[in-house]
Amino acid sequence: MEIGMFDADVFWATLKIMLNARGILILLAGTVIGMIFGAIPGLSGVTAMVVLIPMTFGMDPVTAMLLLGAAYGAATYGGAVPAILINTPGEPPNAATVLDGFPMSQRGKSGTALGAAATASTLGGFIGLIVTFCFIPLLAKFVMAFSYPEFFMMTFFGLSIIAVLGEGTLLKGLAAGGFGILLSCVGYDPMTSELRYTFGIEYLWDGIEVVPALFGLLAIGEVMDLLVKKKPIADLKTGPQKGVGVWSGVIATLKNSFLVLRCSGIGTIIGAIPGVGGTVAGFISYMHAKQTCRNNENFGKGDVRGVIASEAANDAKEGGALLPTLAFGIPGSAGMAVFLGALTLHGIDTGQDIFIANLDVVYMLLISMLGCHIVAAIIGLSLADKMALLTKIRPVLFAPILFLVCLIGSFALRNSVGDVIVTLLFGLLGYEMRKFGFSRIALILGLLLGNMAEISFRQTLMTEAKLLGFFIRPISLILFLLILLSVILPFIQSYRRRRINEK
Amino acid sequence: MKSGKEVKMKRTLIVCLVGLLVIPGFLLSFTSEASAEDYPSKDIRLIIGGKPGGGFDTYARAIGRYMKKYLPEGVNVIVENRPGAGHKIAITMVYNSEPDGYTIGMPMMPGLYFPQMFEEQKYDMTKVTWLVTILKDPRVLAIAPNSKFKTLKDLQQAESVRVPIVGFSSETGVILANEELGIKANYISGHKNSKEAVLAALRGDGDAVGFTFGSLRKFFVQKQLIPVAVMGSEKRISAISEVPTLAELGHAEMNEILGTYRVLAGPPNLPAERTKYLRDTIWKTLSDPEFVAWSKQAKRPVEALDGEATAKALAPVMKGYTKYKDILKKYVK
Repeated sequence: MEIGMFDADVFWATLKIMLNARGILILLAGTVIGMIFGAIPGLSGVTAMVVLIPMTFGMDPVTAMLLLGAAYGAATYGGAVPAILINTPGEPPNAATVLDGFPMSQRGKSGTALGAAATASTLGGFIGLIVTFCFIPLLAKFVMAFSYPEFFMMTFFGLSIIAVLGEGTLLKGLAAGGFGILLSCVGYDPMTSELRYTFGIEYLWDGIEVVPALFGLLAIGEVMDLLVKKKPIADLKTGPQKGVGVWSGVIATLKNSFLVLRCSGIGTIIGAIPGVGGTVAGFISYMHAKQTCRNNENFGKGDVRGVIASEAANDAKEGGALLPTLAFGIPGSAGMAVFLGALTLHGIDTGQDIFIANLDVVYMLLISMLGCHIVAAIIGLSLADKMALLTKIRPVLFAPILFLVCLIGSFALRNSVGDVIVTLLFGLLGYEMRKFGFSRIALILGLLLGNMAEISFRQTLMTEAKLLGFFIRPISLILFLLILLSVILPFIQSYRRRRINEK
Repeated sequence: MKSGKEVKMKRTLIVCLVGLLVIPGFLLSFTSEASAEDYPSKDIRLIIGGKPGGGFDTYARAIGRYMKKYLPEGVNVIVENRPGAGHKIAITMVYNSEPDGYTIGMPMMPGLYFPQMFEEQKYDMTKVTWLVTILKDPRVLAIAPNSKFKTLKDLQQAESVRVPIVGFSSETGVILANEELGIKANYISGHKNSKEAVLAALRGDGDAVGFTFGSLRKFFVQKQLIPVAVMGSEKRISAISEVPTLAELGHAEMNEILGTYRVLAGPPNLPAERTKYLRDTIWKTLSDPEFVAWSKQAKRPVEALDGEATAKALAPVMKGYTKYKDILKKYVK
């Protein structure tokens, strides 16, 4: 049987396993657990699955997939919640959601942002899964055309968003991004395993872990600011009082359905390319939205379309990540690796013949991930208005709790005190950066992508074409031109605007 | 100028901070009390250097799952993933833990031995307490189907063979084999794991790969890779019986050291009776019918060696590598 052929009988049989009291209950449980794990900084969909795996030992593999798929699928939406409410992405892929999600909260529009995130996640998740499943053979060929030069260009694309972030001056943004890239060089040289910039500190061997740094820069920085300003996150005096409920977010997303479609497409493709990782998906799609939408001057200051773009791509990428998992038996993301591991624990061989021997398991994964998006959307939408109240709590009460949650979160990540220290140090750095107008997201981008960019750049140099490799391969060249265009375009636009104003 | 309130806030913050660091330390100091009589009376930590979902993780979790049967009521095996630094972080934790039998590990062997050949490490693989070998996994050199090379001879005669690898210390065995076979390899390092390196070869970025049979088996079944030499196995592998071993190709001495070992180990100076308890319990687990059934179905093979046999097998392997120190020096830093 060819991979990706649809077997309706097996599909219905699998669907029936879910559509009974026990199945629905497991789906519900998985979704709720996944959302909670996603929403708590430091925990993630992967941790949710690792915790749940022992509980699946008593189940058959198909039911186990239902629980794990639901938990994992729901976590990506959960991660958007703290990004919007407290400026801290639950997981790194949600980082781009911070850009507009948090400013929306500051203007008292967190309900709208949460509603939009829930809707965009659900739609993105659906599109990603369906596109992947419909085009497995075609996408598999396409993905094989991506090699080291293309990987580099994709990460470079992600990095180039620094130029359009719009917080502080361009020079300060580049300085922050460059500093982030420098920090990403700490630890083992990924190519030769030599130690770099570790100053004899064992913790630094593995480099600066992104997640604790992220908590420090964004959340601790926010805590300090809250305490100094003594005002709740949502500034109700300046923000609008009406039309900020969760449904306004749903409507905004549906109005921008073409944007959702495009960003989901971007997310699916990036997710499907093994080696790039999903982190860039949110950022690239955010950049795409900022450059293609009309009236884009509010991006970065609380434009709902920024949230929609990032969240749609972020959930679509998980669908895409199924592709290498299913087509080559190579997990496309950390989460997929745990899926395959869990299947093996259940005694299922995860080679390509999974399509022949265990098709029901594959379908259950699809069904549970689709199902959990629906459940997550319902839960998310019904709770969004309540969750939005968080932004109205007085800082004296809220800040210490937030502070504690972040520190526990960074400790929980790897049970390492070093991570907690990193969080605290980056908290100070974040506070000062904010005060002097340096973009913290730029630093995070550098830290997140610097390593990947370095590896793929040096790998390209190791190939026969050397530096030329970037320009003689069509996809790489196209990506390079797109990057040039997207960096230059804003300058041309602002130049033209100035000319018009002068006239 | 800083306002008085701001200074006060900062001071409160610092007090909170200090409190946060002190209180958990205080609590932790009470928790680690072990009594010698009733071992094991609490959970056993199995610290592994692999990420969730990988080969190390899968074996560790399966053993943890079935070992529970043979442990006293309420005692579990808790698998802890501590990835990083090429498994060094995990082994350093195990090596320096209290030798009370409550912390064991699954070190990557012989990969973890190489760093200590060149530089002093915070562990010494010649001193750990070996508990069991789960599987001795040979390595296989394989050619990508769309490479211009088709046979081992092609590789040996080529000017340059592109070999995607993860890192130089984890693929030391392949580097040595290539040197021995006279293959002029151009290594492309920096892949996240063996699967990504294989994918690089499949899409045409590499000519040949060398990884453990366990991680390449799937690709042989699917005819995605062509195996050309088996390294570190006394006899041919039955699933790919047409492929000769390195010994058959005339490199018996090197063939002996090139296998990889999936092992369990404890810190040095583990008390004799606890070592015995762990070795016996793990041995029972590996021969448990349910575990055996799992291993067969999941295609995660087990060929166990007991603790003493493991120590006996690994000592000459580690010694054998020191002979090739000069070759390795070129690559391992």
